Amino acid sequence: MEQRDYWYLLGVTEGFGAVTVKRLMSLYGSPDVICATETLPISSRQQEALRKNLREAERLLGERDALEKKGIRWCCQGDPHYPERLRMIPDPPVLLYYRGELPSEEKRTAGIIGARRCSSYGRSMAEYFGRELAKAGLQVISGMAMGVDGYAQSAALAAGGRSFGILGCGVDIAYPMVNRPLYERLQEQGGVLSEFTPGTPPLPQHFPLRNRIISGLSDVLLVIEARKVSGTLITVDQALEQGKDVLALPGRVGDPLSEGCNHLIRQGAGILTGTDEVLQLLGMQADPDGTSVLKGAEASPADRLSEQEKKVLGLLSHDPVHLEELMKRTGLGLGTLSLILLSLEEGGLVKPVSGNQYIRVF
Amino acid sequence: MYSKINAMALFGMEGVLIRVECDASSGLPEMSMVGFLGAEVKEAKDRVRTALKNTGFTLPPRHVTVNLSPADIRKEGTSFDLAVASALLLSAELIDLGRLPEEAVFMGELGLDGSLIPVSGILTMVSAAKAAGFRVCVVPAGNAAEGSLVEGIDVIGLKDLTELPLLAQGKLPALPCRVRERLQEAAGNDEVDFAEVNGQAVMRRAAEIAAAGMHNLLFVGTPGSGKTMIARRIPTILPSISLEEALEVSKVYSVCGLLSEEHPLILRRPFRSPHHTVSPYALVGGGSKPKPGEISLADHGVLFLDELPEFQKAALEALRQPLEDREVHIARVQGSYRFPADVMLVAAMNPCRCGYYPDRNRCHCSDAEVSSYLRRVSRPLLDRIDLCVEAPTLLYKDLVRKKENEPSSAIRARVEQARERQTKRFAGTGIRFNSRMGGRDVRLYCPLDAEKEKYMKRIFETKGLSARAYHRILKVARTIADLAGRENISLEDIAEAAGYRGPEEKFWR
Repeated sequence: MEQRDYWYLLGVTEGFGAVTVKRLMSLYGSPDVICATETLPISSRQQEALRKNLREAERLLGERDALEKKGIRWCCQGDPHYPERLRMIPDPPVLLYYRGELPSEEKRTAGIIGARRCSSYGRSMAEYFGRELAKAGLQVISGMAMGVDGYAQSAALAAGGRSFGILGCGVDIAYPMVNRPLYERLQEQGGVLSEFTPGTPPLPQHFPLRNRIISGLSDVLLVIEARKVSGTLITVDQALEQGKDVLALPGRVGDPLSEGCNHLIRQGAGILTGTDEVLQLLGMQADPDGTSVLKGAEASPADRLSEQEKKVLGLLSHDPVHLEELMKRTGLGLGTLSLILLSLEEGGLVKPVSGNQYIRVF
Repeated sequence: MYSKINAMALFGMEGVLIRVECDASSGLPEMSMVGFLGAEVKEAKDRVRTALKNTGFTLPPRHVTVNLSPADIRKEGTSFDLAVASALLLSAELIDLGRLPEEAVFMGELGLDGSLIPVSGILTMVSAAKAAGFRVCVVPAGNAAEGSLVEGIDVIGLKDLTELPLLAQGKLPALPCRVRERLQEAAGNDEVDFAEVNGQAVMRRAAEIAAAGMHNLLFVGTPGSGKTMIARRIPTILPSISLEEALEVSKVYSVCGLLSEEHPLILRRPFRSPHHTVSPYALVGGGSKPKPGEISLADHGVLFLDELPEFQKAALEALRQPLEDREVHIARVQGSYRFPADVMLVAAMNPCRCGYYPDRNRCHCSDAEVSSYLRRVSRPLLDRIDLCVEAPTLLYKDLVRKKENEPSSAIRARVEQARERQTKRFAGTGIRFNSRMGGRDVRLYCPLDAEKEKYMKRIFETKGLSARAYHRILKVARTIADLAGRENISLEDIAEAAGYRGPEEKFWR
C-alpha cells in the first residue's frame, strides 16, 4: 500500500478527525507509521476502529476507487495538489473530496458568506460582490447555501468567473435542493468540495466544520448580512482564528439582518463599501475608475434615460419601494409609471422583488 | 267527491307543478296519502287533519285518498300542507273555492292550530306559477311580501285556515307588487363607502378595473394593510343591481330560506365572505337535496375569500368549474340541478404564514415554508384570476390622513361608463364583460399594431412571463382603456395590465 492509501484509511476511520490526525502526525511523522503502531496515544475505541479498517483495507480502497467512476475525486494531506491554504489552518481536513476542480493556488480567493434568509439588500449586495470580484479575477468561495451564499456564487458564475462551493454533506448530494442548478454549474466553472465521505447526509453538526474550510480557503472573507446569532459568525470566528481578514457590509442600526455585521465592525472588522477595499487588502491593483457601489451603477446607461426615468430611478434604492409610494412621490399615474418601470427593468437598472415592490440594481 | 288543487314543488332552483288530488268515498274512515312522498310530506296527513279540526272544520268519516301527481317525482318539503288541506275541504264539500282550483297555486305549511307557516323558495315557485299561466298564488302571510315581487300574478297571503272561505269570496286583496319602488329606494344607500379608505391607491385602482370588467381579483399583502376593507367596498362601485339581477339572486336566497318578511328582496349586490373552514358543498352547493352554496348566494355580486390558502383544497378546486361556466351544475339520481354563479371572485391572502415575506427583517419563514404556503393556491385557480396586487404596508400618516378620499359614487360613475362601452362593443355576442372574452374574442377586440405587438414581446422577455399571461394582460388592458374612454389600447394600458401579473409571477414562480 502507498502512503496515499494509509492517508485514506486514516481519513475514513471513525474518531480520526483533523485534530487527532494532526497530533498523531506530529508524533509519528507519516501515516504508515501511525497505522503500523499498535499502541497509539488514543482511546481503545479509536484504536479498535483503526484495526478493523486495516483488516478491511482492501474493501475500503475498492470503494474509494469506485468513487472515481462517479466523477468524485479526492486528495489527502500528503498529496502535492492538496490546497496550500488549508495546510495553514490549525485543523486541516485529512481528506478532501471534490467534483470539478480545486481552487487554483495562483489566483486569489474571496469568501462571501451571509444569512440564508437575506433581505433584498443582502441579495443585491451578494450579487454585486460576487459579480465584481469574479470580474476582477478572484475565485469566490462560499457554502452553496440558500440566500447570500448562493446569490454570490451564481452571480460570480454568471459573470464568467470561478467559484467553489464547500458542502456540509457528501459532494454527491446537492443540498439545498433549490440550488441544484448552481451545484451543476459549479462543477463546470470551479468545483464543489467536502471533507465528508460521499453519501454523508447534511447534518446540522457538519456545518460549523465545513465553515472552517470556507474561511480556510478564502484569502479574505466578506460578510454580507448576518443576524446576531448565526452560523455566519461561526465562520468569522474561525477566519479570525486562522488569521484571515474579515470585511463586513455595514447596515442600518435596527435591522436584525445587519446586527451581526455591525457588531463585527464594532469589534474591528473592515468596512466593506466596495470592491476596491477587497482588492487593496489583497494587494491587487484597484480599478482606477473606482468601483464603489454607487459609481458602478451611475457609470451605466443612466445618461440615456429620460427625465422621468431618472426621477423614478432616483427614488429607488436597496430597500423595496412599493408602486404606491412611487405614485405618491412622482405624481404619475399607474400606466405611465408602469411604462417607465418596465423600460428601466428592461435596461437592467431596476427589478421587482415581489411583484409591486421595486429595488434598484447595483 | 273528487277534487284537485295545484301546488308547487321545489327542485333546486326550479318550481315544478304538482297536482294534489283528493277523493272521498264510502268505506272505512281512513286517510291515505300516495305519490312518492318524502317523510315530511307523509307527515302532512296528521298535521292537516289536526289543523282542520282545530280551525273548526269537521271532516265527515269517509275513506279519503290523497295523491300528489306526477307520481314519479319524489316530493319533499312542507309546502304541500295548504294544498292538501284545501283539497280535503273541497272533496268534503265544506267550502267552495270557485274558480281558484283551476286558476291558483296553493303553497304553505300548516301548524296544528291551523296557522300558516312561511316556507322557503316562494319567489322561485311564484315565478314558476306565473310562467305556467296561473293567475293567483295563495301563500302564507309571512311569504306574501316575497311572492308579490313577481309582476303579473296576484299573490294573496293567508294567516290561517279560517281565512279560506274569505278567499273564495274574493274578500282577501292581493298584495301590490312594489319591486321597482323597493329597488329605487335602496339605490345608493350603501352602508360602506370607498371614501373611508385612506391611501392604497394601487389597490383602489385594481378594484376599479376589476369592477369595470368583472375581473377576478387577488390581494396579497401583510396583515392589516386594508385588503378586507377594500374588498368589502367593491359592491358599492359595481353598477346598481338591475331588476332581473335582483330577482335572480333573490330566488337563490328564497330557495335557501334567507328572505324575510321585512327584507323580501335582495336590493344590493351581494357580498359573501364565507369563513375559510367552509366545506366544498357549502361553497359551491350540494347535499342529497341540492341547495345553492355561497358562490350562488354571491350571484351578480362579490364572493370574497379571505385567507385564501387556509381554505380546504377541495373547496378551492370546486370553484374552478363555476368560475368558468358562471353556473353550478350538480347531478343527482333525480336529475341535474343548476344554480347561478355569476360572481366576481375577490380573494385576499398573506404572502406567508407570518405575513411579512419578502421583508426578511421581519419574516422568519424559510423559503420552503413560504412556497408550501403559496402552493396551497393551485395554478388552475390562479389562472382564473386576472388581477393580482401586492398590498403595501400602511403607514401611520396614511391612517390619520384627513384628506377627502374619492367616494364610491364617483368611482361607480366611471365603472358604469366602462360597462356601457363593453355593452356596445359586445352587442349580440352574448359576452357581457371584458373578462368573459375567449381567445378568439381577444384577437378581435384587442387588436395590437406592430409597435404594441413588439412591446408585448419585450414585456414577456423582460418579465419572463408565461404564455397564459398573454390573454389576461390584454383583457385587463382592454378594461383599462375602456375606463379611460379610449377606443384603442395604449402602451400605458398594456404596461399597467402587465403590472397586475407581477405578484403572481414573482410569488408563484
